[in-house]
Amino acid sequence: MRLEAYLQRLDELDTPSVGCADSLFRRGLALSRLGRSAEAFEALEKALQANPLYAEAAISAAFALGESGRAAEGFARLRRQHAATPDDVEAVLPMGVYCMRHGWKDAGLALLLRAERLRPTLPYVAAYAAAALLEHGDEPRARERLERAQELIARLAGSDGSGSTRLPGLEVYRRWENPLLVKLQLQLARFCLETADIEGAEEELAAALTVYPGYLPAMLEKGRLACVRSGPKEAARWFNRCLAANEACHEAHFELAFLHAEGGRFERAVEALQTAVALRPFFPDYRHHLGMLLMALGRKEAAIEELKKALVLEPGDGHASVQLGIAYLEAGKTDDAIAVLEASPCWSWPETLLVAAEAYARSGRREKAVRALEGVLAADATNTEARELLEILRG
Amino acid sequence: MGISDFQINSSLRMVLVRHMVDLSRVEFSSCRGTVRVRGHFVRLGLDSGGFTPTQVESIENEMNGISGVKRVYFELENWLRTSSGEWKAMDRCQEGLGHKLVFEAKAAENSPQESKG
Repeated sequence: MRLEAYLQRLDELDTPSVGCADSLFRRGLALSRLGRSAEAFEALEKALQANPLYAEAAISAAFALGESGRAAEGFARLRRQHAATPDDVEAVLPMGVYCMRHGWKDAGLALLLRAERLRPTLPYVAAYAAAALLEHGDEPRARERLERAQELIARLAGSDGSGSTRLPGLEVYRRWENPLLVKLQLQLARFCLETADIEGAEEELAAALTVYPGYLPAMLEKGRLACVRSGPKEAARWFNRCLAANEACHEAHFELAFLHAEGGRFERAVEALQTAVALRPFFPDYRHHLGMLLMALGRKEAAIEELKKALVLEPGDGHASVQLGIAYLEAGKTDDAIAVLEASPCWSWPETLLVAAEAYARSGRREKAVRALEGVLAADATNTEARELLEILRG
Repeated sequence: MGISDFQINSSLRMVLVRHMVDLSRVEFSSCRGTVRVRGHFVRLGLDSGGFTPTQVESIENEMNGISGVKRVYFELENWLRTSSGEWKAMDRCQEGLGHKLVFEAKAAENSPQESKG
């Protein structure tokens, strides 16, 4: 029922015919879940036409092909994906599942065991390996895997003392469905939130995490939902669980940084942001936030370094350039502030001109300061700070 | 420490998260209490839209209510404020944007386009 309503909502809001790859992918997943494989394949093919590099769409299209009786064709497509990224568990796991579904059990087992080696901390990957071993009649090894999966779940759930969950029966995994269908549950959770159906959203996320314990996107979503619903403590629990599943989860470090800052734990916020930056050194927004936090803490030189790097990575980032201008100004480097502000892509913004006016005034360039303030008022006549400063400058 | 731009940004982020705004489609930052919001207001999980004018107004009001915020400038590509002060949706679908898991992109995972705070 919810799925049907979701499909209808996609019809209302999106225009799949014009080729929004994400929209088509979501439609394809929903149709797959409803068993409408031919339509699902069509939607997923269109998603691939819109974005030929859309790996999730390619994998899901292969599954849809398989369900339409074209298993070998689907396998060939999956093999191409696998060849492109042989060490990516997100390609290896679906291929293993696909092989199991279509009776290529030796290949399936080998791939699922490989997926397990690639990501030994993910309980659902261990569960898939257990299910494959069970289908091969290797009960002792299947049991061993199952126990390991259960231990991993307990570690994830119990790391914060908030109880544990249990893995569902292996029959769930032995359906050998497209593992990417879990993404549909995330979409359904968001769809529920749209209609303020919080319980529904929680239900979808819980269902996703029951079958896919340790699935990072669902745990991140739980954390973000907890930020809104239950408060920072519960949110932090979920983000910490993400880190227990994968300590290189940069999104979790990033989210935790904000929670630490909200709680006044600024040093921990800095540490979390620095970790996020170390994990993703080329993300300008991570550096931008770190720079701003360092500046708030009075560490001007370190802030300047981070903001400079953010600007190198994204020269068009107007916000970063103004912040760098402010950082220079506060560090007493007026000429540097002026240089960065004058080169800023957002020179015409009132806030940029206001900072520039201050820099000009400090460096004795009164006329330029006046012109900058006039520029502020031309853009926003209600800006009282600019008006007051202008009055002071004009004596 | 007084109300810093970082803290204002953190609060802005919370407002956007609360309203399920896709953070990868919107840029925002405070500069000494002057906030600028740019990009698209798109509900998380959708390619376009998902908000009503009342909801956009509510986001605006919440942003204006954040401690330390002096003013908020909006430069949204899919919402426009009319001369009568009402919010009006501008477009329906922005092709090709949003979250995509792309194997080639994953190979070079540190690509700056992958995420937004």
